[in-house]
Parts: sequence; structure tokens; C-alpha cells
Amino acid sequence: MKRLWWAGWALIVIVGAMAWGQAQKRTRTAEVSADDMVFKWETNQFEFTGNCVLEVSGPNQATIAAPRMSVQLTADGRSIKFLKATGPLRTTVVTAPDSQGVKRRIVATAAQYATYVEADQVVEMVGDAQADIITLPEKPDSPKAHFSGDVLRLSLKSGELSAKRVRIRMEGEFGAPEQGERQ
Amino acid sequence: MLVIVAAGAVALVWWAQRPAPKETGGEWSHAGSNAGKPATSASPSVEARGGEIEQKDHAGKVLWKLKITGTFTTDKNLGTVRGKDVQWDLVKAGGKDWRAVAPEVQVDYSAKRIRFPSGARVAALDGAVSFEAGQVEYQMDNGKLICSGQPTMRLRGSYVRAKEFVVDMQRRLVSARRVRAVYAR
Repeated sequence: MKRLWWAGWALIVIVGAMAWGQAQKRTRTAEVSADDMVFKWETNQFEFTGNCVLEVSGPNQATIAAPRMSVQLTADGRSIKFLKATGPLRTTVVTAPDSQGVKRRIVATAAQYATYVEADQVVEMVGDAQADIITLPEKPDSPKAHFSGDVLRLSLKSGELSAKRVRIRMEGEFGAPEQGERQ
Repeated sequence: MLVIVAAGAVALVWWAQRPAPKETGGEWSHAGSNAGKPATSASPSVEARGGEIEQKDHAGKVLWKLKITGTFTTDKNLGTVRGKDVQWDLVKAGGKDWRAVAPEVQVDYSAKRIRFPSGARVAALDGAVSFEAGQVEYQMDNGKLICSGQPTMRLRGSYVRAKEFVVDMQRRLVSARRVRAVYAR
């Protein structure tokens, strides 16, 4: 009877692990919707034009909207390798909950272009890039930070935002004593 | 000039020797039916089961082959072939060999169209890309394959849905409107 009990638990764990694995597999996608598309099968390259929207699933969910996008698949054509969105573009990321369970929304814009590389899962935005970070759920006194710089980098793995030649303005309580404007 | 070789059935040999169609019509909805034409005792239509058609270019290179395992009908005046349960091989188009499998085919030599009105699965034999669609049309004059009727394009790890896909064999590209592409990562 005890063996049966343990076997039952083992079965539950195995089935649960399989279901979790399947769920993880399903979430590993990137979706692009657009008005028009051209696919060149010799180079495994897609060109999208008109109302292009990229949605990247995962712990940190990202959406990029731009007038033009190109997608390069891997050499075997099995998965996405690289994406370039030509601006002006807008990126929205909802981060996974941090250690304190806090989620944030990052809304970034750039005038020139953005790239997404699947290997490191980083979105890099170039040209008068600006980003607002808001703690969720959004309230009138929610902490906010505004970044502007030449280049902004958003990691979809970690949810981190980094920048070159950055200007930051912070409002509200972020847990850090310093507030105000930095250059 | 394209040369049509009919093989595998007496009816298709007859088909290869037919005179040029007197009336092109151009629309598939009219081709293959006798709408608007007086019925004659010497009906130009022949029905048979099983057969193959090859189309070659002037140098004798095979462009495509059509294998019909079900019944098929040829119409001398309209310049059409209709068949059921078909396999259509498009040879070395855009650097690839393609195969369509479909429940039904309509070939219209006058309009230079091959249609799969009940849908088809068209796949490159190297496995790189395939299409599933409710209606498929191949345009013999410009080498374009049109997939419509909730079509899906599948790659090895991705798929794209669109209103319509136009596969341009000469330029080796696929164009589409109103698309949603889902990529594996």
C-alpha cells in the first residue's frame, strides 16, 4: 500500500514536470504581425512593412511596434536569430515580479531603429532613445523613472535596462535615498 | 513554346493532339462546364480513370508532372482537364522541387492555370517550406503559386498565417498581406 502511495506521488511529479516542460516550450515564441510580408527562402529572411508588431513571450514580455521590421532566421530555418525594427518605434516590456513580487512596465521609444538578438535576448534601441519605468500596479504615487540617451539596452532575460550617455529623472520611492536628476 | 506530352492513358494522348481552343473564356468557373454552349452529339468530353500529364519546355526539360489516380475528364473545346486525387510535381522551380497533393485539380491550358479548388498541401521536397490552403492556383505563364482560403505557410520551426500567399518561383520569394508569423526561439 505504501509503495502504491509513493508510486502515485511519483506519477504526479512526473506528469507535473511534463506539463511544466510543455508550458515552457509553448511560451518560447516570437510573433510578428504586419500589413505586408516578403519571405526570401534562399536567405531565410523576412521583411515586414506596415503596422509591424513583435511580441516576445517569456518571463519579461516585450512588444515592439514599428513601421518596418526584418527577421533573420537561423541557417537551418528552425528559429529566429535576429530582428531589426526601423523607427520610429515603441517598445513595451512588462517585467517578471522581482524578489519582492514587484512588476514594472518599461515603455521606450527610439527614433532610428531597434535590434533584437535571440542569443542574448537583448533589445537595443538607437537614436534619441527614451524610456519610462513605472512600478505596477500604477497609482498616482507610483515610483517612476525617465531615461533618455543615445542607446538603450533592455534585457528580456533579466528585465534590466542599461544606457549609454544617459540622463535619468526619478520620481517617487525606489528604495534608494537619492532622487532627482543625473547626467 | 511549350510542348504538352500526354502519357499513361488513351484520353490524354487524344488530349495532346487536340486543336487550339476556339474560346478561351479565362474564368475557371466557366471553363470545364458547358454553360452557354450548345450541346452537340459529338461531345468533346472524355472521362477516364488514372493518368499522367507532363509539361515540358522547348528544350524538352520537364516543368511539371500531374499524376491523377482518381477519375479525370478532358474537354477538347474548352481546353481543360479535371481530375480527382492528384499529385502534382513542379520541377526545379525557384531552385526547389515542389509537390502538391490535392483531392481535385483543374487544368486550363487556355488561361494557363492549374487550380486546386478543394485545397492542397504544397511542399518543397527539401522540407524547408510548405503551404496548406483552401484554394491553390499555379499560373503557368508567370510561375506564381497563389495560396488562398485561410492559408498557412510552414517552415521548419515557424509558421505564418495570412490572407493570401503569392509564391514567386522566378524571384524565389513569398509575399503576403495581413500576416501573423510565429517563430520558434
